[in-house]
Amino acid sequence: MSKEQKEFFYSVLKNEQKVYSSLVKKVFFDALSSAYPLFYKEVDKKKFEKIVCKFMQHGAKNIKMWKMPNEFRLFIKKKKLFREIAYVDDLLWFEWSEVKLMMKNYKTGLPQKFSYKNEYKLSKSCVMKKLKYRVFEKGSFEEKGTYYLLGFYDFMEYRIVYKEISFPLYIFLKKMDKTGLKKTRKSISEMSDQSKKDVKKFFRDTLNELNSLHVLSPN
Amino acid sequence: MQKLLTRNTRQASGANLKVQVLNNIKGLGLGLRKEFLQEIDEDGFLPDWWEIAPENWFDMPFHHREKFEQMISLRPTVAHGVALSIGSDEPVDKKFLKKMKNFLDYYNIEHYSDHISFTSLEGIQTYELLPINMTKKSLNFISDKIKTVEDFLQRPLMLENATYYYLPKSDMREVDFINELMEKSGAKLLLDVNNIYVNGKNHVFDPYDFLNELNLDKAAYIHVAGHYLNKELGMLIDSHGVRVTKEVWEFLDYTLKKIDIPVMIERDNNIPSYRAMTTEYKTMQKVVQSV
Repeated sequence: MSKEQKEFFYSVLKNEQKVYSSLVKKVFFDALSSAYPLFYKEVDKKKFEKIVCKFMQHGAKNIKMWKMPNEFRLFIKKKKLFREIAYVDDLLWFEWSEVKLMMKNYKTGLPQKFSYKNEYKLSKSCVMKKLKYRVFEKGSFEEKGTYYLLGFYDFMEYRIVYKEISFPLYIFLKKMDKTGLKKTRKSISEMSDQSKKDVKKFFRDTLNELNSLHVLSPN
Repeated sequence: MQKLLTRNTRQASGANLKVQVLNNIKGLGLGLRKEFLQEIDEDGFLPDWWEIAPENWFDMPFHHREKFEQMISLRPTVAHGVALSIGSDEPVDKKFLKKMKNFLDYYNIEHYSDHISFTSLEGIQTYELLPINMTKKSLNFISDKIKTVEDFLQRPLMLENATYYYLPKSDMREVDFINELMEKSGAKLLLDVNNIYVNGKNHVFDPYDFLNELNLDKAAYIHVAGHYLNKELGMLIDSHGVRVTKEVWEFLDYTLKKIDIPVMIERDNNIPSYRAMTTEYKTMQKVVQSV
């Protein structure tokens, strides 16, 4: 590799080249501010630009540009930046999850009827996370608590839908994704002192609905 | 437009060279952007052919898949990438080539192009076209890389003359570099008339002279796009984000008098509505028909 090309390349990333640094900065800035519109609205604009430059210098590795905002999100988390915004990690996760769900390819087809006889896991058209802040509701970002959020691609409406779910459902889905439906029923029944039959009855309608929404995927 | 074109006092010399490099690609093309997909009506206006940015479709979002596949089934399609980084002093990224080949094969896209520039080094991306050293040494290296790409993809590669705002150490003129690169590697030229115009203004050379020196029988198709004057930087910036200027339309007219190949209009930033792009496409149509 030529020394000159390498020096030029890194001087662009270090913001030392008048034209090229400003062009690359613009590419990063545009991609990040449009992937994180809620975050961008909240943040100090000068600081945002400064951090974008830091991230440029750190180096984005994904050849697919649409994935670069996720690298930025992880960079912010790892370097503990924007800590003055308490909900920064949750908000960036929330906004990134929407981009990710929108950009994925999915196999479609009508879901088969839900049955406890089958095994399921969470489908790749959904995300689920325990959040510390209510970042999924405008104007409530600073409300601290424990929130369980399920997001999924809605194949009827062609959009991303988010639903706040209960703690039991969160635990159920998380366990189901790891160990399968049968083991989950057994373990929830032991944890909650409920019979397996009661657990089955308690979750049936919800699982039915989630299955029809492609949130569950047959395993 | 006719009136506008008469302001160009240049006369293109030589015969109107007809080159058929692209099978099934004829007439005028338009960049197919995600932003257009919901607006395009299959029974409404469609260009003669599409140009797509393949890297944007590698993951093929379900959200756009059906419409995208419908559109490229209705018109011939050319893939124009940005991430090949052919000008970097590194070997070609085989992982990237594999993804590209899978994509091109899956959608049966025969023609693929990228830029005479580099975008990444040591695995770090800039997502911007950076200038290369125009030297004999880099010419030989890039030429070998082109052959590797063509062997891997089982397709010929086309390369676009890029803009540059800084000229790294070079011992060749750009026009000589391009001519020799095309000759040595066998690659075809994606002739971007806006880029020649912008480089001419920024680096004080005559774009018409440059064009006259280019070996046009290596040209496969033409790009036309917009640029703007960045007063702070004191340069024209090839933004692909604004309307095409009248100077570039005039330059296209001059080019088309020298060579008869397909032309397409590119818009990568500030993407307007499909309707607005259709209007610009029709301006391009008038220029082409007036030649």
